[in-house]
Amino acid sequence: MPHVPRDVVALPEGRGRWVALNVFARTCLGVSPEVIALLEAIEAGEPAPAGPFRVWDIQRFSNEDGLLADPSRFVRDPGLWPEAEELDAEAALARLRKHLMLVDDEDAYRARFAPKESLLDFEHVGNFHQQLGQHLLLVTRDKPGPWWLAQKFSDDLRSIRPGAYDFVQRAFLDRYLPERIERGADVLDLGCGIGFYANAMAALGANVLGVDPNPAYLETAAGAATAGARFEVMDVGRPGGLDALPDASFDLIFMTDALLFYFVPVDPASAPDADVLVADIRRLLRPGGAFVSLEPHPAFFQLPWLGDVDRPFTISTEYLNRRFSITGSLGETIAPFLRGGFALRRFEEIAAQPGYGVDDERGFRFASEFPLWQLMELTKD
Amino acid sequence: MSVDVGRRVFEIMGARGEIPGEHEQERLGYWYLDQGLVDSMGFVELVLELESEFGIRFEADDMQAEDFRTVGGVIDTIERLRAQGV
Repeated sequence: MPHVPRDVVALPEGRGRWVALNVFARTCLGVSPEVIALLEAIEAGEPAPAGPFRVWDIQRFSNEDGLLADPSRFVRDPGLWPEAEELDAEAALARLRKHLMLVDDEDAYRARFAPKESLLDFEHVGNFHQQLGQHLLLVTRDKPGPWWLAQKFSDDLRSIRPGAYDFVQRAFLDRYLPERIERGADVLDLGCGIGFYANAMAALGANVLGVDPNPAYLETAAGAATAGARFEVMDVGRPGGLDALPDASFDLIFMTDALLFYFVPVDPASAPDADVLVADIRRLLRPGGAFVSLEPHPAFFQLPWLGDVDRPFTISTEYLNRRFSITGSLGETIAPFLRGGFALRRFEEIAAQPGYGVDDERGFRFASEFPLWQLMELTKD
Repeated sequence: MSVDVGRRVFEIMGARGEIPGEHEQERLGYWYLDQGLVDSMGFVELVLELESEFGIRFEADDMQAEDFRTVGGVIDTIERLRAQGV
């Protein structure tokens, strides 16, 4: 029997418009009150009320605007909505089915919430990485590698773009690193990427080695290297990947935006091993040394962003069992370190940093309520 | 099926591996993706090459269609898009 999945919510947009969302499928459709009445009639087993039924095609893949841009998948500003389509009842029901606001078979509907089996699998909802990859490759035709870099860095890769990487992560590290990095300290940056923060730590007087499995990233890093920073290709997280580095050779080991892939890998068939990583860190740290981790917080990728700008809220659909999102839970993230003989010495949930100029008020307010990153400092027991 | 479009599609796909079949009908029905002629990244490259060759653009809906998984379906889609001037 056709019915409205209990995953559907409708939010007022004013002026006779509602935003209907399937919060698990992350599908959206603008609808008039007549469409809401149509759904009510379906639920009650009553004949369709009189139309016409107006719908607005407002669904979009928001990450086109940036990895950390508003991830809500509908056109935010009703002034920018496309023209309403006036549909008869049959066409309206077809549109509601397409957007998963109406389903005929609950089991078949539930079966769609599984990982995608291939790039061309549009049937299964998949996780964030799969959705983003499919969108970049098949719709916008972007190469994922350069696209990822462009989300965080300016075109010349020398600075952080405006946005949450800037007003949360960089703003925090601008304060934290000068406090934490001692001149002359030996620092290892694990998964350093293009070396932005490795160079920042070297500029503070540390001797920094940045390692990463991606040679192209390290070529960029070396091209911009600050005195005191050097870079080597190493297969971080793989058995033997860091064997070239001597025992007890670092005072501080730094890792950012890389640990999450140990818990929610892009490719589950080749997940890096957190226990291998922890054993390497333990071996490489000097007595009294610390591992500093700055990683996306479990609240990092909450969508949709709802509410008035000054009263943000979201609808969480998962925490412990990540089917869509891309970070481990707090417990999962900390567990391999506790198991590997580390103690958690400091923990901070990093929200938007006050005083930083922003041109994205909704994003700033959202990141002021829901922390985007977490800082952990761990030392050997 | 336009002879030119069909011939070029067979050439472009054939450069990636053998399209098996004794008769044209069999070769048109070859499930090139499911049977491993191209992998995911190879598929993207194939799509870009076909778009460039024929001056068209496939939309996500075109690529979602089950037909698109066969050689003949790709040819039909190209011909439809060319007829629409897309």
